[in-house]
Amino acid sequence: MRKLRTYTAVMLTTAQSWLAYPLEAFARTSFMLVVIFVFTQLWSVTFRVSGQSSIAGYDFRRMVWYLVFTETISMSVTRVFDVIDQQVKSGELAYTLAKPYSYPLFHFAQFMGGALLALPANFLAGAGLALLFAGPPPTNPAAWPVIALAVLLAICLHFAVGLSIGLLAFWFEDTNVFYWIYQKTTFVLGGLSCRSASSPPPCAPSPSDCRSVRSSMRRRGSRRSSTPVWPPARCSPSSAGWSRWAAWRQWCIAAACAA
Amino acid sequence: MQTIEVEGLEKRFRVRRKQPGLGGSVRALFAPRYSEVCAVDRISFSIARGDVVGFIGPNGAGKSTTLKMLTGILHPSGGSARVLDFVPWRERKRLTYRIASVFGQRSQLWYHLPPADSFNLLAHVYELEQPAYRARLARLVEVFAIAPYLHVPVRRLSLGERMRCEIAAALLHRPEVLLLDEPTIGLDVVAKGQIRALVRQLADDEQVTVLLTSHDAGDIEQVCRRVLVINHGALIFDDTLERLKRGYLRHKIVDLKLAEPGEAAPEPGLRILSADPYRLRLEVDTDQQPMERVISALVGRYRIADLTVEEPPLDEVIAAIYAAAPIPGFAGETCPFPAGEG
Repeated sequence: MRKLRTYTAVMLTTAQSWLAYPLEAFARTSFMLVVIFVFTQLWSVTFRVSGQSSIAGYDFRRMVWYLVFTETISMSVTRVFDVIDQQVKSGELAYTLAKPYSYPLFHFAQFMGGALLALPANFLAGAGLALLFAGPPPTNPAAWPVIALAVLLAICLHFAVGLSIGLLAFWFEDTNVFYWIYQKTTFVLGGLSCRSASSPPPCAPSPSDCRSVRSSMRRRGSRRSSTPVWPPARCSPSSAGWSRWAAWRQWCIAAACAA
Repeated sequence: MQTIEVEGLEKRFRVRRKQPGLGGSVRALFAPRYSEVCAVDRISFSIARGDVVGFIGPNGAGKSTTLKMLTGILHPSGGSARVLDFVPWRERKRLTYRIASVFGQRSQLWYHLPPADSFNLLAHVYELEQPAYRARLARLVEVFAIAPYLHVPVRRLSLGERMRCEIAAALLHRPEVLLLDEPTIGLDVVAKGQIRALVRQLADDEQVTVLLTSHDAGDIEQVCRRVLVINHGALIFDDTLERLKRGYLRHKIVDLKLAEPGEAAPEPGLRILSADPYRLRLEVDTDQQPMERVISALVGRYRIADLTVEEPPLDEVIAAIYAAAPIPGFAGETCPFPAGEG
């Protein structure tokens, strides 16, 4: 019980430290607005151009809210591996190791303390913008506890990986390369990894694909013109391929912007 | 019972060696070469409760490595050590409740928060009862005169103010052993004086065992009763400060103010450092000329207005020790390898 109080105190002290510079905290939260705004605009263009109401099972509203949750997590957590790496390099470890607590749990408490305020602040900022552009979240209120649990588990998983990478600093000079590998792996598993943005869309559409494109264009009141436009007439992409390609392109641009 | 007992403590590191240039880098990839660095070489000493001991040596002598082994952060390559009857590297967590360390170039205070917040956190970390913590804090705030800074963010404190808060933070849980690693580094003369006085007072009042490393001879001279000198990982001196001075530098400085003009006359064992009609400064080699004979000769020759005899500055003693071979009678075996870290 006493130990729990110790780690709670570490968590609350970290949260206090987070608030030490209100302007910086405000700026960090404002960046969430920028990211959600950019992605919202990119996805709205993607959905409009593709003419599809849903891509891979996500409609625009779901896509935006998915972004709000994932960006809230990724922007609210600290780079624990970097903290440990710096402690090893600077020798500050002499202080942190010479205390009567568990070193990993101390970092976990610090990590959670950092997320304690950043998480709701970022979520409120992102959710506000999502409400404005995409409407209310497409979930049943009964699902919210499950979402909260999923967010908590995602944070814990991210911490566990960050800690493991950080501890490599005891053997390796620089742990950034391991984090880089982890980051790219999460891109792949999270769906951000894609064919090159310059890859052409799939060709040789089936007749049904062409019908689908034409019908979607008609729905939007477009007329076929003789002016060559993308996709070129000689290589009309399948509607699914085109929408996937457009989506990936927007993602990559957005990722580059966010980076 | 001894508070700290060290017997044949040794720490060796394997260090990768690389030839200079790109070719050397490529060769090191395929055929890496290592050499062994002996940071601490079979040192032995013990420190009794309440002792204030200076632990000095040049950069890379092995001081910090020894301190890290005594706090349990580093495992030794050989030998044994007991601090408060704990083996530090095996019982580190239990030991941390009873010892404290302060590193002059690091901080345990939260940089963006006032010291009061760090103190509160440390009270939780060391599981102090609130009434006991509050009483202890009140005492430390009074002794270290840190009341004006208690609620000021650490980043806004001067180095001297911060260091007083650092030491107060280290003492919150009433440690029985205090390891100070260059606590006065970068401080001005006034702040150094305050820190030294506080450490001395603490050792006297609370019988805390203090092991102090410093490159500042003043720290050692004004705080410590005993000195350990380490060089190239080996302990080369372990005795009182007085013995260190007497045993190592055999000269004194005599400063004369004359009532009437006088001329300096060279004599065996006397070296004239400076001379003007009303003032003489002489260095006496006490091996060649006993001080009584020198003083009586000077009194007979001049009309003296004032006379002072100065001890050699400790800086000179330390510099001489670092530069010279081990002191006869105190010599430990010197390490065949250069030490890797301080």
